[in-house]
Amino acid sequence: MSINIKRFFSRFFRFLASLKLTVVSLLLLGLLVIAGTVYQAENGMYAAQREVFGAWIIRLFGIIPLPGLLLISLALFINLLAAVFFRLQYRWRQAGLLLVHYSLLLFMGGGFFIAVTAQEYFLTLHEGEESNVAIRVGAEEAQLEQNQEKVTLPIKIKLLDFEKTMHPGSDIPRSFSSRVEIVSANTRRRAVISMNRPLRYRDYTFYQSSYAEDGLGGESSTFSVVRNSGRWLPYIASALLFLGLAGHFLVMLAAALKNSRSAKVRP
Amino acid sequence: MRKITILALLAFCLPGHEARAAAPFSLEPFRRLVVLEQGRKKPMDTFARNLLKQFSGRSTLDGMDASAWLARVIFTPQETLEDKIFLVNQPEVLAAMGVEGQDRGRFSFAHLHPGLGRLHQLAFQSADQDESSRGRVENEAIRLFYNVSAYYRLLNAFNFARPGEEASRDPRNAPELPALLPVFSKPDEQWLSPAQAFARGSSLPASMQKEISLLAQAVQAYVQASENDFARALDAFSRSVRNRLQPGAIAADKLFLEIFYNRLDPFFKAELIYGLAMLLLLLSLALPRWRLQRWARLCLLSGFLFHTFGLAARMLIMNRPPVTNLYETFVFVAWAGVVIGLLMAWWQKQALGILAGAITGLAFLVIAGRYSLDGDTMGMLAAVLDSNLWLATHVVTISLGYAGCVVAGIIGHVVIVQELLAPRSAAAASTARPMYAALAFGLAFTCIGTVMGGIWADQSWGRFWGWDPKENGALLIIICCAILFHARLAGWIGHIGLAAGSIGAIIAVVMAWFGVNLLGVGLHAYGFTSGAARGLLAFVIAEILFLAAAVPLCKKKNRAASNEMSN
Repeated sequence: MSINIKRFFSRFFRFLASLKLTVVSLLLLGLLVIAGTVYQAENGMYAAQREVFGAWIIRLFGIIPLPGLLLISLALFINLLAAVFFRLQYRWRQAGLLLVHYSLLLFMGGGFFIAVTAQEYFLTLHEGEESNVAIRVGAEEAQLEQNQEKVTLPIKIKLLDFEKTMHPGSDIPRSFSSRVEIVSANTRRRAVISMNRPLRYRDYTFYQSSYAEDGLGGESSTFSVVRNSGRWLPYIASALLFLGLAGHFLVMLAAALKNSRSAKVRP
Repeated sequence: MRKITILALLAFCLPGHEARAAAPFSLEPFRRLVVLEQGRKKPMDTFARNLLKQFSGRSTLDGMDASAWLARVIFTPQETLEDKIFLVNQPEVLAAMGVEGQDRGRFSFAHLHPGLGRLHQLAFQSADQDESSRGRVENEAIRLFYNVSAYYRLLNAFNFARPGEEASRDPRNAPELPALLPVFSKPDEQWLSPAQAFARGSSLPASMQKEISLLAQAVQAYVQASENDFARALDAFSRSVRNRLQPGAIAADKLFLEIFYNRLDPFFKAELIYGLAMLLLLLSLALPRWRLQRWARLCLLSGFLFHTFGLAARMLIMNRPPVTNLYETFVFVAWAGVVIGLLMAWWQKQALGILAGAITGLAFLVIAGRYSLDGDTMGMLAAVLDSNLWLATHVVTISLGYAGCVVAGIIGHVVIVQELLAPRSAAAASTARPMYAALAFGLAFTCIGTVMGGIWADQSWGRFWGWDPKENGALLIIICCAILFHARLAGWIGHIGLAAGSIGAIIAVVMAWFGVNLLGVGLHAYGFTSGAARGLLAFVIAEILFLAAAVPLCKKKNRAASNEMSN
């Protein structure tokens, strides 16, 4: 009996670590990404996030259940984990590729952690307005104001002035920026939030997102406020990926040089 | 409203036509006048070129360069009415205008003139339609009307300087082209055309009144063909404008470089030379005794020098990394493909490297050339994209990744053709090795570029990954390459499968590169023409047909060959 169980488990783990599972999951992932992109073009970014990219199961035509992105990612994650333990070879020649696979594990794990824990809000302020109440992203679609999920930020932001400049003689925007005042418990300081230059406060980050003009010369500015304690995870994964790719490149280059030298010597 | 007034005016003042030769003297001072267009201060030479390309699809007219053409249009308008400069791609527009013309071709203003009222009506009705419901003819009507009215404004741009012409004192009626005179009104810098400045009359500062009279002198000098007076007036004008601007606002050396770049037209030259390299290479395969391969490599190398000069000149002129817009991605990927080809040629695979480099260079420079007809290829950057650091890293690496995959796909065609001609030959197997390397290069750089894009997005918008179509496209390339490498590792595909997969990777690349622009959503959607969409679709279908026909045939021949061997 114990032999049977052992055999079953060894087969099972071999399957989990198998290239077959990798290729099939990757194929499914590719198809899903295509489908999700097309879906997004028709139904918008938010619907695509909810129905395809953030779903365990998707229903084709509303009926046929198919694995969603989360399920396929989970399969790939387990496959990768099993491969790292059971299949990949721990040799110096393979060091770069090993790092690349570890970085992918970290990307997927980190991505999952961020998807679960990170929160994104909108904060819209008119010039002169001061507030610390932001609205959960996605909730702005709610028709009634009481249905919108709100959150109180640890600091108040006061919009002093929003400025939009254009390249002269054109309709190409050159910059969007908001001069704000940050009001915390006992200090007030001024800051500028502009495109590509966000404001960071503890684990909150404020980004210049959009603006509106009310037609009377007044302007309002919308910031996206992101609270993401796992923000550093993709950075570490990226560093691992760079190292791994560079390492593998050097290994390959050395092998190619050696080959071409011996090929030249031999004849 | 303005366009309607212009068209109403148009009906009245069609001057007669008298022939005279183009200016027999140097137009250098004219070429280096500074014009503001779409937010960029550029030499008149570039302005003229973009305009003539936009009108006619060419950068010269009857052997005359664009500046010489534009000088005639604005200084001696009556002489240009018979010039065939308006390219009409859809002859139905001509029929709708009620003017003669059966085929796609170029027509003069005088020829189109009787139908302009109808064109105006058609263009405005079309413009009112939703963009997605417009057909080819509607779009062409809008384009033609836009071009004709721009030309008409240029005809009247210097009326104030011509004795006997009525020039309006109402700034609203003054043609706003070309914007030559900067004024500083808060909050933005604004540039006026000579006619607009003239219409403001005595409210202008003395320096600008002086500038207008200098321009009027230049018009007189041009008409009297007096070279010295022409140069003196325009140079004095340029000096005066420069003195009013901040020091360094216009760099004279960059103007010269840009005019030189225009005149050299390096990408067009590179395109021709790459074509020649390819021809020589094919000839060398047919006639191995002629030793043409060295000449093909020399061609590829000299085309590459032009190409590199063009890239470098653009970087210097704009103070930018090499890739900032869709046009430049074509130019840069072409360049990277040639670099990879040259490296391969140097690393044993002589003919294959030349072939892959020349095809990539030629194909993408041809696409770039088509794309450049849309207007200035050195546009200003919108605020979201304005970051030299990320443009230099993310965009460059991802373009290198595209180039690697494209080269792998081109070699994939060679592998399949070799397998068809001689199944299980050593030649195909040895061609497959650089294909594998190019694909690995493509995968690595696409990975790095995508991750850098994520870091840029996190730095600027607070999210590393957002399932934006362009991100999905890059992910798709990565998935495609990853599938190939893992399937290869498992032994499920050999080099035929890898070759077919590399061609699949090209399809993934073109979809990610400009296919997602057709979807028109997300941060990376920078507009694309419908003609390009059809071309893209035709390309993808052709590749799929090629694969569907060639791969099963390859497999069959392969099996037959191995049976023969075992027998």
